[in-house]
Amino acid sequence: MKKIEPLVDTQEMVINMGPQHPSTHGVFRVILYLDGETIMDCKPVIGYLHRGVEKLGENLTYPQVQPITDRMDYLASPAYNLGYVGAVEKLMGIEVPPRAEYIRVMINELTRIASHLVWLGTHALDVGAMTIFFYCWREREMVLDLFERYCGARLTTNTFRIGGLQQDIPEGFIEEVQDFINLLPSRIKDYETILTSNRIWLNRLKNVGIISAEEAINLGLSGPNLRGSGVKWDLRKAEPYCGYEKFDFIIPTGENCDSYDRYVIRLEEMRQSIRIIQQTIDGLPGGDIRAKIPKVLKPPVGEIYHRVEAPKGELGFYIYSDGSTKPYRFRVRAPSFVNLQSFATMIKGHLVADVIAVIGTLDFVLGEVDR
Amino acid sequence: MTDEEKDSQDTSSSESEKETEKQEKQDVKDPAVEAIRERFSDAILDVTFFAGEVTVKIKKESLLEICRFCHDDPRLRFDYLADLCGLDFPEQEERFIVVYQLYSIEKNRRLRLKTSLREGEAVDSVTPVWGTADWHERETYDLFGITFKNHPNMERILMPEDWEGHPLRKDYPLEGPNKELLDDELKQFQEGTLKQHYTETAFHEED
Amino acid sequence: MGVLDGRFGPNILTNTLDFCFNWCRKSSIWPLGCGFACCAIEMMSALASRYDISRFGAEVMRPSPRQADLLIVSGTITLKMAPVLRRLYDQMPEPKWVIAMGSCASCGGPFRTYSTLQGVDRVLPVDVYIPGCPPRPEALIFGFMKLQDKIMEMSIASKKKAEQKS
Repeated sequence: MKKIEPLVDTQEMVINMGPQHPSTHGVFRVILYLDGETIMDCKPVIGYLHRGVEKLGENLTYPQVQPITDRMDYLASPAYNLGYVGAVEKLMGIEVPPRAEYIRVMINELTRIASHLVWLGTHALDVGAMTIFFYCWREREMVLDLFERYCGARLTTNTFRIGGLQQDIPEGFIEEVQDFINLLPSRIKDYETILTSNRIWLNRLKNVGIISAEEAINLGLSGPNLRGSGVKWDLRKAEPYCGYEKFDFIIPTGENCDSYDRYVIRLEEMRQSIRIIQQTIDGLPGGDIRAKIPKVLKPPVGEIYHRVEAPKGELGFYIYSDGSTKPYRFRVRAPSFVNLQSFATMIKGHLVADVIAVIGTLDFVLGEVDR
Repeated sequence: MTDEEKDSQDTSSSESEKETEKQEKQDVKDPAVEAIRERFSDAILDVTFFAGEVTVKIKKESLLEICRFCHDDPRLRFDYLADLCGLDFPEQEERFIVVYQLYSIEKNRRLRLKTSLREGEAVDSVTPVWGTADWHERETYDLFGITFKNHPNMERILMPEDWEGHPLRKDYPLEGPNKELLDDELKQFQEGTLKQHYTETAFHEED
Repeated sequence: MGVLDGRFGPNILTNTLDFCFNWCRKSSIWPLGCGFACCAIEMMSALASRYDISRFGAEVMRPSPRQADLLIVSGTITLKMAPVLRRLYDQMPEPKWVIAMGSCASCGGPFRTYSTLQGVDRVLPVDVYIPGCPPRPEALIFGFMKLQDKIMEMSIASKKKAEQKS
């Protein structure tokens, strides 16, 4: 392409997309260095929601830390609860009964659906499709009703306990879950009808936010963001936990490494979650819901790193125990913190409006970025 | 047999089982550890196995070399740095420990590397090997005060830029530097003397 | 508006005008579109179709503080964010109100740590506190209605003259 000589001398402009912005999904600040409308460089500033969760974890006993883990990724609280109780169970060598495992998987996959619905609603709202926001929230209310039926809270659930579950599923719960997953495929089809071949959606998302597989692995991306670049890696298949090896599902991957592929992958993940939930309903065993654990939890001296596939990526809990009732070091490897690092790579050379699309496609939550 | 007796029997037998398991695992050879031991036998200080995971403690001078070896060697291919964090043991001489959680996507294998350093010392940054270490190292610097040599942008990331102190150190109080103020307020609240400000919206104030 | 405020003591003119102004203000409160943490998700649920807050006039979430009446502080405020919040509040034109939604905004919540502001009323004057972690959307709507009751009590009559009369 012939290089166009600029007629007019331009200056670099610095624009601040401040902590308060309708599209930044929380208190995220990014300073953009622009040449006209094209982004030359950017500097993300985080830490506006740093609440000191890791230090708080060192001052609470193991069961008391669990409600704190809800509030990090507040869109997918049961997934975080599952990661944390799994970490403590690994540290103490506790084995969870099979009925508890099946119910945990069921709630975990419902969480994945809820998280992806929020992603789709807010991403579409930012790009301009407001209808999808209301549709997704309508479905999400059904999932929150199920959570409320099971554990009493809609959002910050504090469900599951170390060793199993706090209570068995109530009567009629299975039928309600079955009704929900019978209804959901037609709704996902509705979203696809509106968005997938929509010319505006394609123009806004195709070839935006491209990151190659090598770069993605180097930058530590995980979850649907990494699978969008073609890397077939899902912790539920690679390092199964909580009985995931018994379930049959596929891992969708993308080819073009752009935002549109990530959109298709997440929709497909919702369908695979429906498949897994159906398998848990069909094969739910009877029996105990909680293993026998001591009244006062004092794990042995040692350290573990337990990782689960949260809806946003690899969620890791690194716990160093010194033999007392409180963790010596409670470290959360939050997927959004690491995914956000690739933000600068993804938006170089794009226009300002693409920043919004990339923020949506990365699907990060400031609660877990800042902890 | 009552339930309690059964429980105590179970725990004692499982404890001895766990001990034999631990012994067995000490004898188990991890291929990654063996590959590192082959090349850098003098840099390895300790190898531990716990709960199915392997931890290697290395000297901080050979950290960058060993990380590059783990990343490039075809037998290991640890191309993914899952996590990087710090630990603080104030009563030990080498107070800080930096922990690296490595993962190989190809071989589906995990490894943990640890290196310790004294207060005031700096450790090499591994950003040339794994780009993701950038923000992790900034966070470790922010919360512990551990500096990393040759880091592209060694600045605070989570706390405000003008913050003093490193919060995750064990000698930093949980409530922060204003602990006395908060305690004072709590005492006033308990005594019933805490004043609260209300907004006046009922009537319009004259200028 | 500046002509009438504080001029008269309470009389039939001020009472009628009070009723009109207050009814207009309470029926069209426009919140500022800013969410901070978990409570923001419940705020978004309150805006969605099930717990519809636009029935109360608040469907237009203004992104700019210059055009907003109400600041709903939904989520934990940290010491890094507090000056930003104060600046947002200062940029809003009068009359303006603040709702502290959730435990973190009211009193710091479960996070009694080095970086969390123990209650947003340390930097802003708060009108309504809504407890909960997070409060249900119905609780937010209840707090909203309490704010509407508070707005109905506003008056353009002069305080001094009202006190003189009584």
